[in-house]
Amino acid sequence: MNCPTDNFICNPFLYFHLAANAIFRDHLPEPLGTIIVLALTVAMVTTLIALIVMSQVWAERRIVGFMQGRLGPNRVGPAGLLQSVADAVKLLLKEIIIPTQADKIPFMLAPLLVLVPSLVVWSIIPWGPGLSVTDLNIGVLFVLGLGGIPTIGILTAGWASSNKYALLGGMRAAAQLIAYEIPLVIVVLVPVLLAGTMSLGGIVEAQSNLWFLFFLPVGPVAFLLFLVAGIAEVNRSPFDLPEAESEIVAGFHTEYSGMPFALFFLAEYANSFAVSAMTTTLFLGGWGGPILPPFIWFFLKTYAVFFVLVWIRGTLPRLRYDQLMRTAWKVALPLALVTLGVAAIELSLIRSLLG
Amino acid sequence: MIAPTEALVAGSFYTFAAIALAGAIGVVLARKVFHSALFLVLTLASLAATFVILGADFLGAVQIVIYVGAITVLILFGIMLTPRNVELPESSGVGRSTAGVFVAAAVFIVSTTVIVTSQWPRSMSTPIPDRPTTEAIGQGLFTTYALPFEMASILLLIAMIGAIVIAREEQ
Amino acid sequence: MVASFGPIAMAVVIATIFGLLPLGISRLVAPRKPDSVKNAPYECGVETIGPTMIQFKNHFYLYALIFVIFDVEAVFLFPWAVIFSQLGTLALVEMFVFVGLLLVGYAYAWRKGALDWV
Repeated sequence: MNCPTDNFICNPFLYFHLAANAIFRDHLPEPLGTIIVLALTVAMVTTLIALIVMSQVWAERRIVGFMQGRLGPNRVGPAGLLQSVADAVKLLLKEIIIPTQADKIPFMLAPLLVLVPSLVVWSIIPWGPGLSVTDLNIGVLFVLGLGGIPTIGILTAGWASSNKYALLGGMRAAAQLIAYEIPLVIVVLVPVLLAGTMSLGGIVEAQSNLWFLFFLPVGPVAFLLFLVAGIAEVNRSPFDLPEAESEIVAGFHTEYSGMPFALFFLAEYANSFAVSAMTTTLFLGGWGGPILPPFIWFFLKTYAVFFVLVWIRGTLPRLRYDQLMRTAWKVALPLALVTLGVAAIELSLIRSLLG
Repeated sequence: MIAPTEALVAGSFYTFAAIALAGAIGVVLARKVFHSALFLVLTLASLAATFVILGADFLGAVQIVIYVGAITVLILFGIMLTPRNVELPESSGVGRSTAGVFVAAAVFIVSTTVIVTSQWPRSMSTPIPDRPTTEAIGQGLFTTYALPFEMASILLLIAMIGAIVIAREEQ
Repeated sequence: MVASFGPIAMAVVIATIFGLLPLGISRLVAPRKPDSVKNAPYECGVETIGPTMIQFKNHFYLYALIFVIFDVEAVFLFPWAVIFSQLGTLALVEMFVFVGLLLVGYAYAWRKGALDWV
């Protein structure tokens, strides 16, 4: 559906934007007005993402409950919808325990290091044509860079807690994250190669005729690799070894309580949702689709991918650590390189055949 | 979209330069090595922002991916795998700090001299071209600089083999 | 082009505030009653034995080194992927040589067991 940003159906933020411009931009000197409008826009996107993430915690618990033959949260609000709100309020009112031996400033800094990138990434993921806070021409690389920062936060959390479980969990998490980051970075090159741009908007537009998922034979392989590496990057089951409760209590966030813990939790879900959104953008045609407005398509696809993540969590048992490492270094990495190579050769062949 | 007025660009440049410097001072002054590493993250991230302000958007992203995302993890691993009693010595005599000051001053003088006396292809007065750099870098890498590009691969290969050999010896 | 990065700086600021705000509120409304048992390192009820910072396997470090090398390699591939359609077959060959050389190192690491988790 062809969708200009000055159409209300296409741009759900149109009235917000017009109002913000009318209030601040027309009455304040430049660039102050623009900066305030920008701050408001980013704040709104961030709040919206936080609300979506809270709804997702509820959705995941309901779906996994259903898959495991139990009810899941159903007491607070209609169908338990307000459970996440209740949890957030509860965590807000809980004492923030900082262990005596902990290194206090890094201890409090760690949740922020994990949370901030997971929220910033939403400023460049496009919800529709032209519908992102900013469209970077190096978008994909920037998203990958942001994805690397939580590793530092997790290591800091493990180190600053001064707890053996936390330290082990932090090391495990970091080793896992870096192991899966390589196949992730390489496989992301496939959509970049096919689209010829690193801008996320450009990649979506390049898929208007054919989703990269269906670019045979490499599309499905790249898609699966991206999904698997993405799940590993956000520490979700079956790759949730950093917080394997049967072995190392809660891993790197063993010593965290109250709000700092809630920030880790929020970041984890924001990241899961970001992985779903990136899968949609890179392989499933992003916002593209018939009849419905683009942002509806974007969220439909993202939620579908997120459902698959929940489904995987409800189905598969946790991997063993040596299996996890072997999969990353000896299967995913060579497979990603082969996928990229085949994609490049195929593209060259197509080009020479078409003249 | 904010038009990048000269004042805004200059202001953000000086802000990030100040943050980078503050981080660097933190690296030197922090008592614990781990804290130094965290200050280093701050410096490296501000340098990425500085790259972007100077018009090198691709390099800025690379700075984040490689330095903030990878090198820092390597440094943190190195620190965490070192037993705690090998913290930096508290103070080790006047001779050592004098030598440190001397070396730092020498490096400072040499690099300032080089910066001041060099003939730069672009002076302060000509504005930086405001366009994406990735394609230009790619064109350069695969045509003019194809040989250095392949040499980089050999360098990486040597680094990898060297790392494995050293790690094997220690076990 | 530089302007498109302005919102990123803003997003970092807003996201940091977004994280600090609940921490601040929690500090105001949450109770604070520390005691020596509560603030001890969590160890399933037993007291911690020995120092927390023990030296464990340096295999982690080797992983990190290999990771950095492959990360650098992947970053070189990005400009190539972007302008692949503008370059000729030569670029394809150049890239295969580049990756092929690194694969030698990868094979070496595999043979020497650097990729095994022991």
